[in-house]
Amino acid sequence: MAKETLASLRTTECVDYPVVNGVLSELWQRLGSAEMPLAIVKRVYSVATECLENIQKYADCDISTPVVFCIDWDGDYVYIRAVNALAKSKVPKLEYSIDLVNSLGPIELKKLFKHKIQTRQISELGGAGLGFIIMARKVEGGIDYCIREQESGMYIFDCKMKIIVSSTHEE
Amino acid sequence: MSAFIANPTEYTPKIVFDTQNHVLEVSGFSRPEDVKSFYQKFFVWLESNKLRLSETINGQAKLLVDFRMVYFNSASSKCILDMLTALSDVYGKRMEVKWYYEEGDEDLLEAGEEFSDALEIPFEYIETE
Repeated sequence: MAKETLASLRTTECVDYPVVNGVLSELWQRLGSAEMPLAIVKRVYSVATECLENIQKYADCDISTPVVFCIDWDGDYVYIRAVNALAKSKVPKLEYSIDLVNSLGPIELKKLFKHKIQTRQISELGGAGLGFIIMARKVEGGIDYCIREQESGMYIFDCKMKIIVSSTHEE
Repeated sequence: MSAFIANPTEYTPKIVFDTQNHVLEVSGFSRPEDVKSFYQKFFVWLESNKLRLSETINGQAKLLVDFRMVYFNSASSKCILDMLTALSDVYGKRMEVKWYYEEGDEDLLEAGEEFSDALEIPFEYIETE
């Protein structure tokens, strides 16, 4: 089948909770009418939520760097992409968090999740430090990302993930 | 002692804690705008009713917990675990947790297994259609 868009957002405005709700409501409706197993529907919704909540809580507004969030699927895979601006000070922690989850296999990720859920407190921004672990556990091949410096001094965080739909295409 | 009730919204779960019958029901979606303050209401309520609740339990009553979640985000999962941990401080191991999940929703089933493992309390898993 041809690629179909399940969710799409492109804005230079700061992404707030109502914007996240709008994108997720539309995604939930489209996932409901897409012919994919329930497990995949929930997985896509979960990764999308964590991604958008990260953008809402941690992204920095930059007029030259629009926030881009899109989800497409082609019958075999669901493709998720998120792009946002980020201040330099946030880069090291972000890189560390993603590199860590990307370096772990399913069993280690499960152990890390258990450790963090039992020891971490909810931060002032409402995070529990579990989002990237949850994403890494649900996507195929880890969280593919790059961070580029802009002329403005801001950084662009560009991340891509995919979720397998058909088990006959497992790599 | 009155029950704790949080009515559901599109993005927040229904939470009903019937203290007379020792039944906690949690259902729906959980991705509140401010997850901390949403769940804090329950923790504040529990703290202020702990003593009276312990008296009604009298070392014997068992807590029945019905989880019928559709989806909860990562921060909510932390709060849900904290809720169950706080209740286990009151009820001890006398908790019977029924974890409902829709047929095919293997991630939700696994989440229940992980809560059970973290709490060291066996859950009953109930598949729904």
